Amino acid sequence: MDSMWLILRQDLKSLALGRGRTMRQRIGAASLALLWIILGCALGYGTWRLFGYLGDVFGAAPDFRAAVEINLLNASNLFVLTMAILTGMQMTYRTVYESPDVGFLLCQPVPARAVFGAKFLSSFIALAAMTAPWGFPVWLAFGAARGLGAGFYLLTAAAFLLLLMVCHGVISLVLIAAMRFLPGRKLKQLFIAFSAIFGILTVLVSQMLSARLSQSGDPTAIIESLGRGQLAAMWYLPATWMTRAVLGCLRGFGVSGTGGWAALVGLSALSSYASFSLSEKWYLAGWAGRGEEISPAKRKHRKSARTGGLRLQGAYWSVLRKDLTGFVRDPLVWYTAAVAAIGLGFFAYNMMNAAGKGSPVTPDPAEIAILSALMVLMPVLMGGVTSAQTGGVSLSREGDAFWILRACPVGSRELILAKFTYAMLPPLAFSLVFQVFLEFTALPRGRFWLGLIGGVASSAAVAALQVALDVYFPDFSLKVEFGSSGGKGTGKILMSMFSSMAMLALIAVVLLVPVMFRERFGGDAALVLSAAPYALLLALALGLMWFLLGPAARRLKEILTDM
Amino acid sequence: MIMWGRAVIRAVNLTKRYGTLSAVNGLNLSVKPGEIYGFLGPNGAGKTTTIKMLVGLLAPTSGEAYIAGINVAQDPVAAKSVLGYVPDTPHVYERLTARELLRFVGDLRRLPPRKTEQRIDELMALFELTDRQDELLGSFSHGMRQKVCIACALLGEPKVLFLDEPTVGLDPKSARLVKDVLRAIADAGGTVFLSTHVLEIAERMCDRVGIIQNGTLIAEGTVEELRSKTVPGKEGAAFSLEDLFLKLTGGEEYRDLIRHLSSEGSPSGAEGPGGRR
Ligand SMILES: Nc1ncnc2c1ncn2[C@@H]1O[C@H](COP(=O)(O)OP(=O)(O)O)[C@@H](O)[C@H]1O
Ligand SMILES: [Mg+2]
Repeated sequence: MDSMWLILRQDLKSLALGRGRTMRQRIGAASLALLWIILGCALGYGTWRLFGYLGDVFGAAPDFRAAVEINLLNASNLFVLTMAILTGMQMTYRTVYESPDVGFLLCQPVPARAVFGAKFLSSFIALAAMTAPWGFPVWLAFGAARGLGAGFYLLTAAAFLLLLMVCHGVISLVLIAAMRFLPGRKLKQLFIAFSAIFGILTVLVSQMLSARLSQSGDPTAIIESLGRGQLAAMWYLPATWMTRAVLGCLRGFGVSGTGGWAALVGLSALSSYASFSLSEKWYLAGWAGRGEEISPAKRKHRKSARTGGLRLQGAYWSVLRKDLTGFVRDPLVWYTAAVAAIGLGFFAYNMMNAAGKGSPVTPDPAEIAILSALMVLMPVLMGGVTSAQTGGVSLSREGDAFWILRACPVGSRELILAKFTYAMLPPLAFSLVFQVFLEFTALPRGRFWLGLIGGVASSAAVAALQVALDVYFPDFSLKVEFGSSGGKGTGKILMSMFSSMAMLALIAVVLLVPVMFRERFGGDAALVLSAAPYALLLALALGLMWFLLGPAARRLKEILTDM
Repeated sequence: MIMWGRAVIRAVNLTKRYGTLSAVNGLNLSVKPGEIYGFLGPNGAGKTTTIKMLVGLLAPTSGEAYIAGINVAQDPVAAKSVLGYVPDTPHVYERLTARELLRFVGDLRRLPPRKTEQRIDELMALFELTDRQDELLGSFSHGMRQKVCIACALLGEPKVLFLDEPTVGLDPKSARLVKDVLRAIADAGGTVFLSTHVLEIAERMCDRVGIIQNGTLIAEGTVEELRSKTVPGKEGAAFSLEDLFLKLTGGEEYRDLIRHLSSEGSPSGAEGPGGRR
């Protein structure tokens, strides 16, 4: 297996040194890494305080304390599992099947297994790097708050890696079989997308079911269902195995870890070994067939299209039409949008559940303001996650075919407006549907038209920011397929995603400023409380659009004429 | 000397530097309407760089480019509306069908839709893609994509056509077709600027040839002019343009090396470039 290590070393070297990258790309990568570290530290610090607080408050009730801790730790693991499925599918696919060097390597006199093995390991490393900051710091914080020794950290690290290995191994197995046996590119991608959605739904539904358990009134039953009961109810999830495995080694939790360890070690070894040994037979054929298009049945053209019926022309409409056609034909997009819609659905469900339990007393205006802000922001967040992979990076997604636009008489403003419209569509659609949906529920919130304005303005702000960032930091190696080659495109999409989250955080601050300072406004400023922040939000969106059509459009003009 | 006023393509001291490397160095040239201009040079000579600057895809470090009297750097959109361009590698949107791509280009150029559809029918028939026009471009072979790219450039019937190594990757029949099409365009008054490293194309198709090496235009004229001008000696021997080309671009010294490498039984033969160990 010398050749495998050779290939892997090459991969890691080029990753670490960032060879062949421009300064701009390096700055992007470094800031992303920094962001990752900050995220991990923030999460660790926050949960450390939380665990410490639990210790102070429930010191006298160790059972209850343990139950809450189990609940928190398992929730964090579930989140890691969701992330691992969400990103792992795409990342493994990209690394194993779309790395640009695979074709070259498979032509060399090395076994296909070695090439697969190297790509398998490097995608595992990428997956671990992507998901670790979301979950590992929580365990570290728990250990620190409980004052546990070094052994705990070693065990946790091992169990955490095993958890990721289980995900990665199973994902690889699904991938390698789907790529080998399903005909046609579209079917392959659809299958891959839907198995990921299925995985995520499984996690979410079991979470929901176990939340139902805790609705009885008896305090001991609540403790039981919060802690060990939850673990028992979700026995089939790898996230739970990991929680059991680590907590089983500690006293006072009443959890047995043997089963957890056995399941983790067994499944990770089995799935990794199986995909590794099957790759000798399946990898080459699957890789070679990855781009196969099955000839569609001859489509009959509409007569009007043939004879050239009325069509909106010019760069704006034709680019938008072209992008939307690609949108409809890209299974990845449906996957992302479906995941976002599922997320939004769960959010709405939880909100309604919580509202149903709450007291019937009329909530105070501040609470309504916070709630309405949340209602505005949630659909935009979900839409923003979708557009971060579609419209928000659609300039980069022009990829190698960008010359077509550049060689045609296309104005930079028209083009940037088309990309902006494309980026704005998902958050706008989610917002409108959600606001209308809220009209039919009894959830306490502000006025309908304020929600609409908020949704439109925040969608515009998020889209404008994404497109502007895409113009200033384009990455034309981002492929139109299931993401990009290697790990570069991931950074690009993450940048787009984080920037929209940051924008939403800013919008949240804008919307909640009056609530924070409401004493100043006096009790009677109901209108100011509700409408003023929305006007401010509108101004923010308009400002960003001004930036987009001014400086960003000028930058795009440079790209169009010099690259 | 050509009158500047009649030139459709004009480059004035066109220069592109990448760091210390001068990819194109003070290039001056002009092409008349109805002319096929062949831009000939070895790999890395600066052909692609020059074409990109002429069509407004790359900003020159210094110097100017004019298409039909329009300064490309000052008004790229106007310049791009009178020219067609075929790049050296035929990248296309893989999720569109051939017909959709052509329609997209027609809409970008605001061609009348009815006429566009007719023109697409003609072009698809010309390039023998009628049967495949409703398939996704992702399933097209390199040569088919190349033909689609050429069709895109021809769609708007541009005054000036730039083609970067147009026949690379085409089968002989399609290559022949492209040559015929270009000739017909030039005969109808259009201007064609094509780059190539294949001498036969320059010799057979082009009204005028410019030879570029290391970013500098080292010779220009009709093939006959070039022959009479620059190759003295070798009296009586019939020489091809290849000799001329190799002589001009300094390729002659490689001849001996190649001969040396291919001669069998030579013990030191395996040490040269391209040798096997
Ligand atoms: N983006 C670039 N950065 C640096 N050097 C480049 C770039 N593009 C081209 N060059 C260099 O410019 C020279 C001319 O390239 P090109 O115009 O592509 O040659 P060709 O005649 O084969 O088309 C080459 O030496 C090439 O290495
Ligand atoms: Mg070239």
